Amino acid sequence: MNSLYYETSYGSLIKNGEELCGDKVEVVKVANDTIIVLADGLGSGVKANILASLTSKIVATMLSAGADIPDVVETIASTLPVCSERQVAYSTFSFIRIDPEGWAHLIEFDNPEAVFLRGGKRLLANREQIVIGGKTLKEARLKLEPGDMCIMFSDGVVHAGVGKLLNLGWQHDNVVDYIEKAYKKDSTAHSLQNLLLSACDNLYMQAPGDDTTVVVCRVIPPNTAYVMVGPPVDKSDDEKLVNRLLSFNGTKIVCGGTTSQIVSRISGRELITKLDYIRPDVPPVGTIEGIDLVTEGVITLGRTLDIIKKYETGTVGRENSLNYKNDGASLLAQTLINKCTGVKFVVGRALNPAHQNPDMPIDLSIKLRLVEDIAESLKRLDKKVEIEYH
Amino acid sequence: MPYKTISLKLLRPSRVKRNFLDNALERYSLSFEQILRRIGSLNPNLAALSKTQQQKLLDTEVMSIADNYDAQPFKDALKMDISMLLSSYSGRVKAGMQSNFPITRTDDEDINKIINSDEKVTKRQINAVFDKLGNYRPLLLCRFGINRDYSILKQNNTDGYYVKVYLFNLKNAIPVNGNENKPLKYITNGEELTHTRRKKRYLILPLQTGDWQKKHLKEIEQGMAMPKSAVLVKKGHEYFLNVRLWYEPISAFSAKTYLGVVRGVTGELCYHICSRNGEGLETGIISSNKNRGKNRVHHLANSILKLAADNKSQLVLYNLTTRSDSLNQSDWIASVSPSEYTELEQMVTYKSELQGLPAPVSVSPSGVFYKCPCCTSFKYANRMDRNIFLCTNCGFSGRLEEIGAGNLARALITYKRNKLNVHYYQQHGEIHFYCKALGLSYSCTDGSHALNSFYKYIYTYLIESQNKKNKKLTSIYKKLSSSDDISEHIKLIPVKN
Repeated sequence: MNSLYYETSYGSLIKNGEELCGDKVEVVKVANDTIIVLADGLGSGVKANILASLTSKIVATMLSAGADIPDVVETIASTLPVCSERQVAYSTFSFIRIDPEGWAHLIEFDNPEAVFLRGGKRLLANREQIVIGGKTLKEARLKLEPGDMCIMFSDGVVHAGVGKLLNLGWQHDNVVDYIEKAYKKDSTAHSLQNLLLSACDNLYMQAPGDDTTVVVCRVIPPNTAYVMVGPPVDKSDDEKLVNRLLSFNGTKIVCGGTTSQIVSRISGRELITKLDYIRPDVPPVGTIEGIDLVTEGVITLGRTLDIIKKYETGTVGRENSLNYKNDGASLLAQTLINKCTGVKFVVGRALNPAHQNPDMPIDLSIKLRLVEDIAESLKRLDKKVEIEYH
Repeated sequence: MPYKTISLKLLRPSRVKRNFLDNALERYSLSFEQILRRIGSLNPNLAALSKTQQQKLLDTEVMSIADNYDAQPFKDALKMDISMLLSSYSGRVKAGMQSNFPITRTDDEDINKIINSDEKVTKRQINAVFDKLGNYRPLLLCRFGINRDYSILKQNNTDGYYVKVYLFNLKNAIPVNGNENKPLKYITNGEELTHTRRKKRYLILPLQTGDWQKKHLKEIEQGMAMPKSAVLVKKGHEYFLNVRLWYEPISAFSAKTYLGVVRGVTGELCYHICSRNGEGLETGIISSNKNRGKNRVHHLANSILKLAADNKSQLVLYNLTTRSDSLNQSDWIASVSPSEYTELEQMVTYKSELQGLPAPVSVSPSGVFYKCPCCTSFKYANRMDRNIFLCTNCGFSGRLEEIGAGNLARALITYKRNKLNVHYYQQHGEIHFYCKALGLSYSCTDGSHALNSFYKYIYTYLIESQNKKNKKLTSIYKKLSSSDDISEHIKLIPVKN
């Protein structure tokens, strides 16, 4: 069986008046396992940030090294600095470790219970209490399946709206109820995380009373996109590459006018160009039966790179830069980021006769550079990327 | 046409005048009932007749019944009054409502019939007879004017007002009282009332007027209001003249803001005022301050109109007669019921005309409380609890009633911005367009000219539809014509063929 892919997204709201968030998230991949840690430091501001950072780092590092949970808990207890005012060193934490087959091990210490979704409904995870070093932790083990989601959040979510719109805060049951109502089949980890944070921000009326963090992990089967960019240098390779594209088991994308025409000619399927210019600076997309997305070439790739970079370098809270518009660049970015766990670029190095015109500033090297930059960004977004040149 | 009814109390009529008034009411009521019974007995299928046919039944022979009761001065009023009653009765019957032939007054003979009846008599029948025993029907005075059914006078140099009412026929005319020498002028033209030495067929009765009544009487004097019909009514031992006034419609101002008013959750009504581009300006609760019944509705209506006047607002309400706003929940009901809101809407409509406010616009209540003002997502799941809205699409939150009022206030702005969906697909060198809202399909050769060709076709289609007087198409035509570029109002949606 192919390893499952864990798409993870997290974001935070900083308590009103503070500069640093007292919650911290660590996501590490160790020997094909994915470990997600959420820590909430006591209080807020710098002190809480230090407590949470130390906690999340210790947990992630020790688990990565194969340490037992009692060792992890004892290390945290002995490492955290004691607060001079409260005389307590304290940080809550939750972590989940998921192996490539979907077996998940969850440990929670004083954080709100994580929520698991299957088919949009809450999946109950039986928790057992364990006591380590005088601390009571909750432990759960379960098998996750493709489509499942795990949502972890700090108590800033549970208390959202307190003293403002909601007298008693949002409360855990209402949060779960909302997650179930908001869930859509095509919800990504990022979209759900963003939505929950947006809801918290609105309930707090844009002045969070506490640090608020949401982590969402979505379990998806691996899906690779086959992206054909540009015609091959050797025309005799046209048929071979097109047939590989058509028989590929994954998302099929064609970028470039000439490339689209080649695919259309060899497959015998009509290439239809759509009428609507959604964005004036992005050429319209086309359709070929059996191909998931057909776009123009260099200009679209340039805009796509802009979008992916904005998404990648988004501020805390991962501001949604995809915009979910229907122009070629937005569709390409959305597909590569949301629908694919890996991308295989098949780049043709044939020169575009139009680009030989000295008045045209675009040349082949720009196209290749764009593809490489997109690939690098996608790798940093944890996608498996390959580039093949012809 | 804006109408208002004012109630003028007759100021402590003397015993003699009270007798005259009671006698007039008696004669009117008896004539009314006897004429009604006569035509009812002659025409068992009266409810099925048209209005014109019913009016023809009130011919000279039938109306001569009034002569038996010296009700000649009231014949025109009787005809009008009976016609209105029959029209109302047949309207109810044709609408399928259970309705007995109207009885407005009963007498001892009706009691005897009940007592001596061989058939079983129900409690309802007995109550019907006794409830209307000796009943006075309000006396309709259908024309206002110097020598008409009634007129209003004022005493020179004082604030005293009087009503002159024609109640007697020639036979029963009363002598002019030697003491009736107060100089009185008709308030409409300032002409002095002259008493002849002959007998008179009218009564002059002083009116008890407070500030409110004087305000309206002055409006009549100044020509701002015109009295139409009136009814003379007895309540207990007091007599009232309810006068229907017609006002020249005031030109409505051009609205600068929108005011949406919805049924409230924490209060009776919730309102929101926004600018013409949708920017929120003010939100609040409207309360009737513990008024009850009709007073409650009046109070709420007046509060709404004050807000509209102060903010130069176009009032936007919603129509609850055919659709629900889904505000009530299984365990909770809003304090203003849908029927009360509808009554309020009607009241606000006629009052706004009198005050020179733009007529309120009534829109569909669908989704008012469930549509997100931020992302326009419409889901019932957006309601988190009784008064909290939390959008399941974008996370926007707020108080439900405020969001509802805001959505209503912006309804007209949204309507203007909504685009017309046009679906299209391309196949074999042709392009096919379809617009469900317009009910039209169009095909042409695919190419750069295709869109322009389609837009021209839409215009031609809509212009032709003006002749068919289709409201929806007229509305769409107005919207598309409002700007130079039709494509601003059209959204092209590709479909798989």
